[in-house]
Amino acid sequence: MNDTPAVSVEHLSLRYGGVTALDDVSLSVERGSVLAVVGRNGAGKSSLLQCMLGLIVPQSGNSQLLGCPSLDLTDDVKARLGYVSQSPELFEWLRVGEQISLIGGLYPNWSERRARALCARFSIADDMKVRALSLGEKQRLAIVIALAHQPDLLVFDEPVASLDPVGRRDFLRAFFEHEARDGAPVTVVISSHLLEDLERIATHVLFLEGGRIQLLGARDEISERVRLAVTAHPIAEQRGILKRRQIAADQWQHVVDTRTVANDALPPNTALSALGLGDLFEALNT
Amino acid sequence: MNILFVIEPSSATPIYRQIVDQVARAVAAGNVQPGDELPSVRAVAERYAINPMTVSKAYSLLESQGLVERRRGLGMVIRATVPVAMETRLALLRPAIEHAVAVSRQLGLTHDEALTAFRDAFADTSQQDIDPSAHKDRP
Repeated sequence: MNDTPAVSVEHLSLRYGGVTALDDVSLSVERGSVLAVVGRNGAGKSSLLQCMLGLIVPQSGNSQLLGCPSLDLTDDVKARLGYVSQSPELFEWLRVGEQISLIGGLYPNWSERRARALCARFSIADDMKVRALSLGEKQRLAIVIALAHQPDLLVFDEPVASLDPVGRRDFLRAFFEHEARDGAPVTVVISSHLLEDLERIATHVLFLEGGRIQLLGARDEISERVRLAVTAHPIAEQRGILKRRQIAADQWQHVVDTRTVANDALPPNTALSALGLGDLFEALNT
Repeated sequence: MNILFVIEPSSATPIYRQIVDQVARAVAAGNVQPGDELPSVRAVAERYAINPMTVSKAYSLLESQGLVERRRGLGMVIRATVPVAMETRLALLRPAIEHAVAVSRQLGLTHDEALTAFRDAFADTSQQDIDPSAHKDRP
């Protein structure tokens, strides 16, 4: 097995005009992980994915995919990559079946059988002109293509908004129906607002806010160590206090990392409550 | 064996933990018998649209706790002499206790007041309400 991370990002910073899209973001995604990227609109999710893929050149920092610099991807690495953007680029003048066959011919690991099965599952008719598809159908077609060439690394930017609940479950199942070339599980990086979907499959979660990493860790560990504490007085900003907010005249809510917070940071007998991903998201972003 | 997991992805309890707890509870309650087979990792992942690695993690933990064993050709089966260790039973009780502690704090009860309430509740609950298989050592 290869120990090179599937994705490695170091000190990425990106600005558009006066707006900071990414601010010194570093992370690495181990092979076989499913990284959920969450944050409010404008938090930097798409910018991060696009920098990872080499589609945007950052002002500083660098990133690597499958051990290859993102800004200089080899054909081999491109063939091992599946990406679905928010507005997929397809060949508008072709029919669905033609588009699938054409793209399929470009990938060494293409499975025509899988492409047809996925089309049926996501209700995309073969003989439709791509131009005539709705945005949702185009997104589904892009998902089919990304999955049918059985890549080692899948990157999805808000892919599931167009799928109904049944389609979304099928989409999540589809991640685990093929293996990477070295026999390991496929690596997935996915941004979405549908936290309940991400909670089913994510091994790791990245919370972004204003282009910075708010919280990053293994999903199970986050559930087991991040807690909500409500106190009568605010607790000073320090290591382990991830967010603080006044919720009533004499009530302050804190998101606490119980593994890193100092023993004496919280008043004795402070009740700590566990949080699902949705509640944690809200607590971190309000 | 027909173990039907109830998976709540949005729960604060990690999914692997939900699976471990449900199998452990089924064993403690006698709802599954030694030799019963757990559904395969793939089948569970597929059914609930969850990550197979999460199911593997749960099964490995159950194996290390001695509740199940890996049998060639069969997958994971409930162990013949299931030792429902005190440690395991206490671990299963822990989430309920933590919840009770949180509520006690919200109500401003002291340590002693809460303990007394627990003792009273324990004494009040009639024997019939308690699952017999978990209390074989009691009259």
